[in-house]
Amino acid sequence: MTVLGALFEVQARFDESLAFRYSCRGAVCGTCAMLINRVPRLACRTQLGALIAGSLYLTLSDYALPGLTEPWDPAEEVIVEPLPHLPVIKDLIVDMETFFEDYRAISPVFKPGNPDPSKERLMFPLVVRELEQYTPCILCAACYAACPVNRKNPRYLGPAALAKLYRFRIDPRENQGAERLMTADNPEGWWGCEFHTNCRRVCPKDVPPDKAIGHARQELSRMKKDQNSLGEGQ
Amino acid sequence: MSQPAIHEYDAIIIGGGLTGLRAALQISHAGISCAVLSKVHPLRSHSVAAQGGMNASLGNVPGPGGASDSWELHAYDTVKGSDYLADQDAVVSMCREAAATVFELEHMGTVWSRLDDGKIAQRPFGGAGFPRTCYATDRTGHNMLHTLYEQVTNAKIPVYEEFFVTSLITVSGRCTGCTALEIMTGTVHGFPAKVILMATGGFGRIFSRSTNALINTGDGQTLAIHAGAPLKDMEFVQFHPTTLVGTSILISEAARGEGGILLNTSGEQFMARYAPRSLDLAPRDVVARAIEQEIAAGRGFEGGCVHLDIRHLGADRIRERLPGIRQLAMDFAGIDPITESIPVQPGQHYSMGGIDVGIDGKSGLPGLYAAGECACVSVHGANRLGGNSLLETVVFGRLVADAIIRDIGSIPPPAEVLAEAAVQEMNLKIIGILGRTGGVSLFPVLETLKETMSAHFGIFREGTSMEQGLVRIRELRSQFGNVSLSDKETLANLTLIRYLELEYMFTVAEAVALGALDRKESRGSHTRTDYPDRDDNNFLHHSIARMENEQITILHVPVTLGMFDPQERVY
Repeated sequence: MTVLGALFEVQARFDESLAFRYSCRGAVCGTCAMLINRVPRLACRTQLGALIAGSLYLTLSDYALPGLTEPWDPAEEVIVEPLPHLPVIKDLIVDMETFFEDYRAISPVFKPGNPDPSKERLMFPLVVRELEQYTPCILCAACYAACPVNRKNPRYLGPAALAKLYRFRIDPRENQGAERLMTADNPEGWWGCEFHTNCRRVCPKDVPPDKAIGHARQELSRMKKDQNSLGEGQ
Repeated sequence: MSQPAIHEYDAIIIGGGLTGLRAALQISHAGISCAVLSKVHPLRSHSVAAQGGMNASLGNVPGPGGASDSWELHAYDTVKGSDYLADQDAVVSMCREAAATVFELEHMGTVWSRLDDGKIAQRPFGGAGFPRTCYATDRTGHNMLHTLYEQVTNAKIPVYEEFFVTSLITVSGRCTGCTALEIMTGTVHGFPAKVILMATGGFGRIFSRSTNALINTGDGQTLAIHAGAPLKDMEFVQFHPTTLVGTSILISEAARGEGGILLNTSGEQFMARYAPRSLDLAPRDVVARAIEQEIAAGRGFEGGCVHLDIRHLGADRIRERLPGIRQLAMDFAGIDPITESIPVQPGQHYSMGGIDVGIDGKSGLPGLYAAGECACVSVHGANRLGGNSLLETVVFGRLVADAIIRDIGSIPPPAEVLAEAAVQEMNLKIIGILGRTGGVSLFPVLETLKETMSAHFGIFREGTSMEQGLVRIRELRSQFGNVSLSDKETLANLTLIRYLELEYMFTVAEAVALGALDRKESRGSHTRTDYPDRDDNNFLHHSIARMENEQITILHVPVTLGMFDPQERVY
């Protein structure tokens, strides 16, 4: 049984008031992320048996959660809590507004580099493979809730929004160059990351935001260096 | 009680999946004020789960013998797949628009899988004569929905997230808005509008074994029929051949499109006996029946399933083309398809029937439009081909939006006072539900309804059993009258939402049952053991379900033929 399945059982048998979100129950829609045994995960994808057996054990870097108020025996019990770093509405439901505010802040829309052709723009499979590292993001906010920087600085855009921004940067159909990266060229963006890599470890879709952030920083640094040397030459 | 929250727009779109978002974009671009209402965040809509792809005769991959594809051939496959029940003018509209629609999404930024020459990749799919299905690995719906959500966000179209629509407002035979419960606060809002577009998806969750998201409870269909818009062809429910045993999670037809085969306990590729030419890529109704028959004949594996074997594709191809289904098999069945076969069984997947509309999306109730899976144009007839539903969502999202843009100038603005009254009425209803005490629990009634639908209205149907099923649905409905909820709060009361959904599900269930009983033939997905043959003389018609005084009656209207005459359907 999955954690989501167990929550439905609890709701039906013990407490109809238990509030949690759900939709696809197949780990593709991103609705049911919550803290499970103190790690952000999708409830629908997490098997109770694996939790009890200890096979999903995961340590996160610099991850300070408030202490538990009750004793906990991980061999017998599974702990579910709402995602941290977001306000709780009720039980396991959090207000996702700040998470989506950050998403909107990076201008998450395709900006074509040239007028639409009559058919498709061509793209080559190797380029698509590169992009497909980032497109599977389901915006579940597990990474946001796992990120120590998001805890310390609520204004930090967070891993999901930055990975999304990088996805547009490397889309060859856009043609904006490093301009795309400038939106987050600040301590609340690319430069806020401390490379704990918790984001990549908790991502249910294996998206590597830390990799995107590293590449973006390199590209911005190169661009600034080029601009500086150009300035010195004049 | 505080002043009711009233929000007036020219057009309200109910549903934030592919159809709803595509329509919203079009309507908003035309300068018409509109908003999207969705009971979940739009990205959580079931469209996101679509795996295999979207059909369009791009001709990027040559067909058998180097032949080239065309929209006419796509239309032929669709009509034959529908067992000749699709309206051919509607099919023509959809297939002609298909290529432009794929390109349109590409121009909005959707990442499609590509061929070596850079063009959009296409793969073979069931019931299709050409490799016609454009795809994004096996996450096609995900890539499309995220693209459209990005566009809607960019266009700053208001989206009322987690608003559950509780009623349609009608006055003198016209739909003039709706009420909706804001789930997280418990507030009922009123939305007076000139036009409502229903885009709420299917009703798969009235069955116990379904690939659908848990949210697919037929809300739109029920709201429509109660408000006076008839439903059509509700008996045609698609059962997908390959769903993961135990969870009914979809294992895409793309697995067979890429070369996967179905095996019984003897290790036999049994589809050779059921569809000698198309084999494992016969249409879904044919393959689902075949699997059921294999299992019934004792050639199924433990747990009532057969095996889907893709191991011969090799690890590289599986990782590249089918990464999502590999992950699903690993997460939900503990099986890696690179080294083991996937245990699969048929499960409810799609609702061919829905709100009766024409190509312009107009329902039988002026002011109410519908598109996508909640509607029935009909482009799928008695059986939908894989890859045609993503196509339908976006094509008709746009076409119906165009019709609304044309019509809206001549529609007078709705009266706000009616919306206020409707909100008060809904508040009283909710107070009534929450005030009930000492009744039965909601959940056993819900589970029994689903089991009843699966047991009596599944892949194989029979008159006496269906009569019993209908009686059971009605008994359950009267039990439902005694349900009381223990959580009396209105704030984030998810059990209240489940209650309201179940209320909707009964109407849909009864419409399916009555349609299935009325149709004494076997056609497409509707297979009756007591009437095993298709009967064009008596049943080449659509079934229309109308409601009068809370009673559903079934009428018949002709199918639009034209291009292709009905023939025996052989694969």
